[in-house]
Amino acid sequence: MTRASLGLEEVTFAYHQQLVVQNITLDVEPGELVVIVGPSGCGKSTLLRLVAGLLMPQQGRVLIDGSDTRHVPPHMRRVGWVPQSYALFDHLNVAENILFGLRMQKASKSKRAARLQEMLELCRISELAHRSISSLSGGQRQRVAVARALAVDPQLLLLDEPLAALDPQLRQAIRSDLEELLRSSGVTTLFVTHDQSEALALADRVAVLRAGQLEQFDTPEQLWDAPASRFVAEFVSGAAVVQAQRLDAQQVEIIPGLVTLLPGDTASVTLALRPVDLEVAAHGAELPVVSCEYSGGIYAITCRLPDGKALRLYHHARAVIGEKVPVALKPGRKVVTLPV
Amino acid sequence: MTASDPISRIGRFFAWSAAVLVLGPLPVLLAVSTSPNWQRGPWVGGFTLRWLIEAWERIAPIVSFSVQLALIVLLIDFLIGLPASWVLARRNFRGRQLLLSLTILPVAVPGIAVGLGLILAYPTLKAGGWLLIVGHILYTLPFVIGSLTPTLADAKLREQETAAETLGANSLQRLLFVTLPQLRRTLTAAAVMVFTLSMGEFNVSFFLFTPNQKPLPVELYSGYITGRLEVAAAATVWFLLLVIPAAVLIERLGGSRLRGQA
Amino acid sequence: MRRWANFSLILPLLILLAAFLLTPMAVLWVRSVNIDGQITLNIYVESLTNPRYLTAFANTALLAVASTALALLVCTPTALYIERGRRESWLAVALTIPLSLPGIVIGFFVILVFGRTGVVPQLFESLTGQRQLSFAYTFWGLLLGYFYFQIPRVVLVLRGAAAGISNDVLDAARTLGASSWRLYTHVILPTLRPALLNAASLSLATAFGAFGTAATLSRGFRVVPLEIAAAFTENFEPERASALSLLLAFVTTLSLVGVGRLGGQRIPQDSQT
Repeated sequence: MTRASLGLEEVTFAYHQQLVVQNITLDVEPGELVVIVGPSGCGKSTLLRLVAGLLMPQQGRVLIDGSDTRHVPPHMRRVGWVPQSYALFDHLNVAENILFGLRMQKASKSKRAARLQEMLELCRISELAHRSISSLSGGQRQRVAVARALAVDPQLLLLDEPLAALDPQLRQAIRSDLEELLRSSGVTTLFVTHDQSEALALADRVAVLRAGQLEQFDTPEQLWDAPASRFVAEFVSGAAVVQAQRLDAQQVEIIPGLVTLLPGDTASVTLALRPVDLEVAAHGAELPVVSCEYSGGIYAITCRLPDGKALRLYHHARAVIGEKVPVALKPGRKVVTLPV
Repeated sequence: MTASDPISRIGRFFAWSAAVLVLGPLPVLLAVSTSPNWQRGPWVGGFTLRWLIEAWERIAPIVSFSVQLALIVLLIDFLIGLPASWVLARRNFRGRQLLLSLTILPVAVPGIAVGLGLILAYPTLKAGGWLLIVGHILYTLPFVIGSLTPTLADAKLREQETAAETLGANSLQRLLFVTLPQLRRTLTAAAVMVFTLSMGEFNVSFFLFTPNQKPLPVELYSGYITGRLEVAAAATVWFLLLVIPAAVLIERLGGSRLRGQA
Repeated sequence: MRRWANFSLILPLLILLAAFLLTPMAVLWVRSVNIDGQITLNIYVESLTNPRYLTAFANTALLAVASTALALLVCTPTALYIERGRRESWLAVALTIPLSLPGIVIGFFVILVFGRTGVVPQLFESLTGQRQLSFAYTFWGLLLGYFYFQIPRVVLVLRGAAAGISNDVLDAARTLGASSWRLYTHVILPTLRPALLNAASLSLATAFGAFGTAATLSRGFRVVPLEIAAAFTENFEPERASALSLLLAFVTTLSLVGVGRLGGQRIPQDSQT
């Protein structure tokens, strides 16, 4: 199985004078699984198309395995592309879909047969080989689409929101199946999603995109513990971002009633309060409860901060809406600071 | 909407009445074409196939001509229409909207007007049936373009073509292995539509036919005006046998945006 | 490079349209205004003031409007029923068959049923001794023929719109207190309005341009298409035939585009690239 590296250097793309992708620079190691995550319209699908060669950047370079792809058309790039709709050929059956790429390469009959078997087993769809596309479920179609892309031994695999079209209940199971498949094939993968929990769960590294710009490109753990911007903190960990006022050289007041140790000399510090860092304690900042949702063994409580913003945290008991609860940092937790 | 609903009841009444109106003449047609002497009444004197045989003998060469004409028109329609639909569906250019709106031509400009114009503009082309072919093309091509263009523009199809491209297919391969197979249904519906329209085309043909190149409807018309009722009815029966199955097929294929000339 | 490729693909169509549509129309225009070497609009003025042709225009308009009105009246409930009532699919097929029938055949049908020796007059005669209701060759026969021709087309246009009326919307209206009549006037018809106007525009334009039906059924009842044919083949007046043709084309295009625009008609299939 081929593993190529991918390099994006200051890639910029505009559509009708509107900048869709701005100055994106990142690199993907051979065999790495990178997830591009961001809200709708942030340019992530466009980025995928730029890598596939379906679009040409106005500025910047796309390097696959070190070589500039500027003059390489899509059908010569050997990049596997799986769009959100899967784009399966419904006039062909499953086996014919998978073998399509090899047919285009005019591969020998024996090679085709061998590769088909390999793909059917890898994606665990052996029993579907002669089925028609229209008879398949969403999860099955996804696997056929991935098998089809992998059958040509691509340098890169590009997946555009592969789980978005599936039923929420199935998503979890199919997600781990997909992860297993990607890991065992070992191909360099670029995976696009709007779901931050998917990004954290699957990726070796995550690229957070917002309005066409790269906010942060890091491991999931780094994104979680050291967000580079307010947006990343809010989007990735669901944190509430507040301006804490310095009381003295050692302490800052996060919100009235909640003080923590944070040495420094600036008058105010920007902090990200992640739900996992907070608890309903005996003493703390009294905040009114806006909503309380049960989530199987735990309650997700949303409080209103003095400035009107929402603050989420978890609790083992139900809170009454309208009443106040004391909110404090969990003992031993360090607070997350954001660069200014 | 439950059946007892007054809206449903009114609808049912009108629908059935319309169906009776529409289908009513058919048994009458059969009766007239098989009665020895319709003036004396239906089947007075027995049931006869005489008229049907006589009509067939008269119109067989004309049917052959009409079918050949329809097939030629079909071929040229696709030769002109497929590339044109491709460009209209996938490329943006000045005047595209104008060209697209020309698909309403068959209703916007009456056939006789076009027929007259053609004959005044190209009197020498009338002999040999060239104008006849042109007239038929003008009134069938818009339907071909009208049905192919939206199909070619369909996002789903284009995404399949893109996927094929990433799998290594060049332009020709994409056309042969993805686009054309996906177009099969539309192409078939369009072909049947062209055939039916051409077989039934009268308004343009009226000015453009010659004694040697006479389409079937023109022959039917002269039968309606001057011939014997029973023979005319019999000829019509043959015509319907040629045309109705095709029409049903179009309905089945779901590709019906058919409008002809009254 | 690509521009040329695109252009060459569309060139045959452009040639066809230029040579065989635009040129003939231009020729009609030239022939109608160039009388004996002089450029004049006389023939237009004369045709529009001549009682014979005025009557023809009036007749044609009357037939067009009447058959359209009749078609809309009958086909609206019909289309609603087919799309939303009990699934009687043969009904849909039955109403589609006439799509393939040219006007002349429909005219012949009217003759068979209501002609001198038509089924209905014969039936009438055997019942009452008098041969009545043989109106095939009159205005009523033509109206019936035109109406017959419109039915499948109007039903087709309306069916598409009828299918689009959401059942939920109807149910919501019912729970808010709408009676069946109110449902019709306040929910269904307004929703169908664009389709109704669209169908009306098609129907009017088709009826104005109808030739075959009129040619088969007319015995003195003059409509413009017949006058065009007569002017050319009987009177050998190509100028008049040309003028009448252009006038007719103007009217049909006007009714198609004009009434269609009222209904917000999209010229077919504007696709987004």
